[in-house]
Amino acid sequence: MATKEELQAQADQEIEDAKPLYKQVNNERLEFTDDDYAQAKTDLGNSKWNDQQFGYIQARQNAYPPITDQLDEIYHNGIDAWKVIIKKVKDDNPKPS
Amino acid sequence: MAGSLIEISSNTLGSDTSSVTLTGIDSTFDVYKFTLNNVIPDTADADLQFRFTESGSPNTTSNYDNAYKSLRSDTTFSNSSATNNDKINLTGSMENDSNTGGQNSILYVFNANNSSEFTFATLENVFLAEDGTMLGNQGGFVLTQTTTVDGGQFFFDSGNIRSGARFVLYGLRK
Repeated sequence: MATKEELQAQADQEIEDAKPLYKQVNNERLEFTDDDYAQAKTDLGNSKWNDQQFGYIQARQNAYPPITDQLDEIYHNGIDAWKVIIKKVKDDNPKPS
Repeated sequence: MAGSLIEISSNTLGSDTSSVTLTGIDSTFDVYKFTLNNVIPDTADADLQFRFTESGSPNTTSNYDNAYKSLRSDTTFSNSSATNNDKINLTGSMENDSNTGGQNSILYVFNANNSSEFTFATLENVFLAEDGTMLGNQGGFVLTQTTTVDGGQFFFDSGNIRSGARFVLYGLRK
């Protein structure tokens, strides 16, 4: 598991490697200013950190079967069968330790 | 009423671009509207994000709150909410294929130019996730600062916005 500082360093390098970057302001194409590059590095670093720390939440939401299917599973096969399905989603998308 | 939607600024990208800023919000209109068409990332799983601008510069303070329902074609709809963020996520992770990807949105913006009110916006969009699932977000967000907003900035959390995307800012005539 990378530290926040390590992820920020990765982000800084990715932005450096991607230069030059451009923005379009009211239909005028301009190269990033120093402030824009600094903000882009901060944003990318934060994004990497959030993905690492909290990405599992969205991944689990996307992977859980529809509630109606879960209720149907419980009705037909019981709680233990339902738990197997839910556990697989959790195991496939682990919470960072 | 005919002619009540007044175009203020439009951007059609001729090249891949990291961010798009549209300004021109002032006291002329009470309500402003952004439309986004065919906005596709060049990086897989990128999220489209947004900040209001003040004097043309993005407001990067941690004063954005949002709540919306995420509609999806494959499983149960979910709720998304956050407080005190430094940006708004307009979408989840998006498909980056230039032919089949894409995101289309409408945002209505309220109180933007009023320096004694928070700036509110409603959001509705439709887009494809990386696995091809169709999703749409319906809800809104607020900048909890009494500042004078003059526009908005759109960008992905990684990579560029592909060429061909179109962004337009309108004013709704009083």
